Amino acid sequence: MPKTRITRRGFLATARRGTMRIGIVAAVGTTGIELATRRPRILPRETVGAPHLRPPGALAETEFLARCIRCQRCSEACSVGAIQLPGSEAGILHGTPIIRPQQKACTLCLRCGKACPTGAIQSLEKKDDARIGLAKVDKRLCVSHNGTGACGACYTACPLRGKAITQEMQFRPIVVEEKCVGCGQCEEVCIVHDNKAIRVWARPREVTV
Amino acid sequence: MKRGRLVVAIRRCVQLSVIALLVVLPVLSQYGHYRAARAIEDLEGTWRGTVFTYLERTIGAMPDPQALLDKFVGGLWSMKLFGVSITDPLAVLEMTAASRAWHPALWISLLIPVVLTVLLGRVFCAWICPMHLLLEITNSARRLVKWAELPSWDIHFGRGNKYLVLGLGLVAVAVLGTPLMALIYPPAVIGREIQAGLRLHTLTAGASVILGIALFELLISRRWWCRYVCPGGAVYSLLGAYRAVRVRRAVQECTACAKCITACEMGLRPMVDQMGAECDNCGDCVKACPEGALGWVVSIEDLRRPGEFAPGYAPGTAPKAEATTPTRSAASGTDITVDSPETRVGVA
Repeated sequence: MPKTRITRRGFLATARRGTMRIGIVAAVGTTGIELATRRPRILPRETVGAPHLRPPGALAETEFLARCIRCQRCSEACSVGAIQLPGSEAGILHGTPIIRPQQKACTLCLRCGKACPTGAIQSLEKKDDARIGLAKVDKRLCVSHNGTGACGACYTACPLRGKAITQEMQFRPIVVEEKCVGCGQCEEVCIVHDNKAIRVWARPREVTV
Repeated sequence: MKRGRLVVAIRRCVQLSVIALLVVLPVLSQYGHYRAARAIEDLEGTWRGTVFTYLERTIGAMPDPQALLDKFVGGLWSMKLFGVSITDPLAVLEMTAASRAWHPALWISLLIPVVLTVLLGRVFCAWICPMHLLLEITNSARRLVKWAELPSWDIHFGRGNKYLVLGLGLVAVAVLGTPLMALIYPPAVIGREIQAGLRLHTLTAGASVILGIALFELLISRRWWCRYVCPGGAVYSLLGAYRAVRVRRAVQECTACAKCITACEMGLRPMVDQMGAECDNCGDCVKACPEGALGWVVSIEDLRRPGEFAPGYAPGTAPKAEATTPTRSAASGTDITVDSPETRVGVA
């Protein structure tokens, strides 16, 4: 009967070999399982379904994507943190600046244009020159329009008050399309939750993706 | 030897401060966001609350905090430091290739990195790039792999591969019209991951790029990325090929012990005066030399020879014939074919 001699040296060598191998297999295995089972997170429709909103002064989308080097300077320069940077779930848009007004609307401080090193976001002189998007009122949801109340929050929040949003009787907001910059302050403050009554949409001519 | 140790110590400090800067800049910008929203009080009890309250007491007490915050933004890909814009040369190439647009401010922001690289060589890599530090640690960890008797290899590739990566990358960027190398270029990726970690409390796909490179270097090819692949390193290599500050060997003191060859992260051979465009003046070889035969010189007279020096050349001394004999045969040899301690394959 052959004897198996277990020496201390042999035991330790096997132990350390085994530990390292188990460690590596465990690390690679868990990463693999994680990657294989992870569902891609679906983006809010501002980023994928409907065209997304870019910071004030941004070029048209194709030109913007060519120029943006994903350096995040706009996002860091933003005075209120309105500029978000989507992660890898956004694919080619990974690291490009996006504004989601429902979470945080642009205050039109125009710092992003000054921070951008490549001119993907142009530096603007006046707030009125920005064309982030266009606000639209859903009259069925708006409490002032549908008669369930009298609100006027969007009118009050608008940085171009009286120019971009005017009011009819009963605080009913009316968006002036030529003047609206699409900053989204109205959308952020809209009292209708879950599905805002006033929302900012990208302007059609800027949509090329 | 002492000189090398000092330089490497300074380099470690610079590397660590760069990493600290990469964390501080996003934190500062976040502080600005919370400050503008007057929401710092809401964070009480969290680490961010503590940091921001401290910042509010120091920066917030200054006359114009927002103007100060505006002067410090970005990461290694493109950053504003003291109000001066600095951009990675690869970013400029990518943006120009993708958009075919001429943006003067972007090219002005190239000034500092390009001048530094032309004078000092590929110093961005060894002194600033956080990936270099990570891969140096990975390189040391290969000893651990060996100790655990795991299979590991050290496959060599052509050093020219990175120029190919750069060229094909730029073609792809030009065709697809969007900067793609930003998604794999480690300094840019690391900056973005730090941002994502601080703001979204998660990591993105970039982290797996970093991890993959590190794992590949750990098990398959030593210092693979920086030597053979990195497109940014290729740009810096091209710019720094004719650098003015170079490592030079005093032939009289060299005993041909090959310690510098083993030490070189870039796979160069200081012992046989083979210091190509990859040399990033990291000081590892100078530190490793037991005889103090290696040191830096500022030389403009041999700018025409980017990589190699005449065998037997030493500054201020006449070359001795017998001192050069152990190295002369190797000096004429080509790059990778000569066997050296570092080409040995790991335990299989």
